[in-house]
Amino acid sequence: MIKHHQPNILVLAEIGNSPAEIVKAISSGEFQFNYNEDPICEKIFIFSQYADEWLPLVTSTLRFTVRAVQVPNYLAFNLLGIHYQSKMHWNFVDQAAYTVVANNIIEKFESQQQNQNTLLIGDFNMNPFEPGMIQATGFHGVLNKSVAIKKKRRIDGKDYPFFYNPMWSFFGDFGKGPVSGTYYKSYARPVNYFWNIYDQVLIRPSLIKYFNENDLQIISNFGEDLNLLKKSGLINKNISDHLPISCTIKEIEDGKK
Amino acid sequence: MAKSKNLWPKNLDGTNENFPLIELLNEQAAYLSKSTNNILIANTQTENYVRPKQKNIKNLRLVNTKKNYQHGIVHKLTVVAPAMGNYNFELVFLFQESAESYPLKVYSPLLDVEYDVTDTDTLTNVLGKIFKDQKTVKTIQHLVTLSKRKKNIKK
Repeated sequence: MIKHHQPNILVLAEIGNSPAEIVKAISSGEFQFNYNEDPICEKIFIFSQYADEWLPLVTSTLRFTVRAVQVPNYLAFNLLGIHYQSKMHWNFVDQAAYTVVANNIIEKFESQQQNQNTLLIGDFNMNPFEPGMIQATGFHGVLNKSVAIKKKRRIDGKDYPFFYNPMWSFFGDFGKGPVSGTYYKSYARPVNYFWNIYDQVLIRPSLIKYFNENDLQIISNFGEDLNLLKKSGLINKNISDHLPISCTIKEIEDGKK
Repeated sequence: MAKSKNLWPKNLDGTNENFPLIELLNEQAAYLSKSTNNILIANTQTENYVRPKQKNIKNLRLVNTKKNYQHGIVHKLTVVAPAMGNYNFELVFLFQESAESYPLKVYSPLLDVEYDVTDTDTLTNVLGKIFKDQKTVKTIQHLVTLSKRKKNIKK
């Protein structure tokens, strides 16, 4: 992954090795990584090519961590890495109900940081169309930019800011990229989506012009080195049961990565 | 001259026999600062809240109906590390579900535990239990260490 995607910031969940082992494994030559430790969050681990000073911690809980990314030449933004409650323990109603709490936390740290340049990334354990991802009191993600750029909508006298969720674009055979989701599950249940997009990136409207749409992808292979899919086209769970996603932010000056 | 007599009871300006919740949290916040030589500070906040009653929500149609949400006041104790750019985390929530201080629910997001509390003595015990929990202690110690490291780097 490091060789093929050259990430500056790597957000991982459910790691099987210690952070030190991961730093050792992913650092080589020009790619030297730090473990940007969070003393509270147990579910998300951030590794980056930056020292903590470039992305100081803002706040965290057991399931998510927030950093203020302040890298030269890039718009300063709030990065929230999340591993939301699983469908194994919570049904979609429980998940939706609890997004109210996440919404409050986002509102609070945006107020503290005095900006709404926020990017959410991680395993939401919900599809983009599920209530928790949609509802105004939850993550409030909308599927197209023309709505998102209106920035907010008013319900019962209160304004709720939007997130733009570009992950909708990956659904179906005519969707973006070679796969239709980041997680595949075939249940013997009446309702089954098979492919799910649980791993998502959502951005506030102020970040849309800095977001490089062409670079947003669900990663299904690392070139010829490693295919994350089996010959059948399904996810090779011996490597990971989720497919990773990647995105890039443009530089402020010249619009390049 | 008033035509009716004062119907209000005479003890409205008196103190409630229960120790006010926010005052108790403020004192605990001050103790944390003292115990860490001001390397960490804690602050308190009181906000309105809407909290999902998860167990009562059986299907999607009910999600946005008022009866499935508990409205009330939440008092929060937040730990702040000034040397780490004011990094903060919420240690304790006191969910007050009516104008009365008790009963209330105490929730620790760090420990992911919730207690039902009916009086000040129980609240004091529960807060002590949360503060003394190994995970809380280790987290606080860790933040103190990180803060000291940051301070040394700045020197």
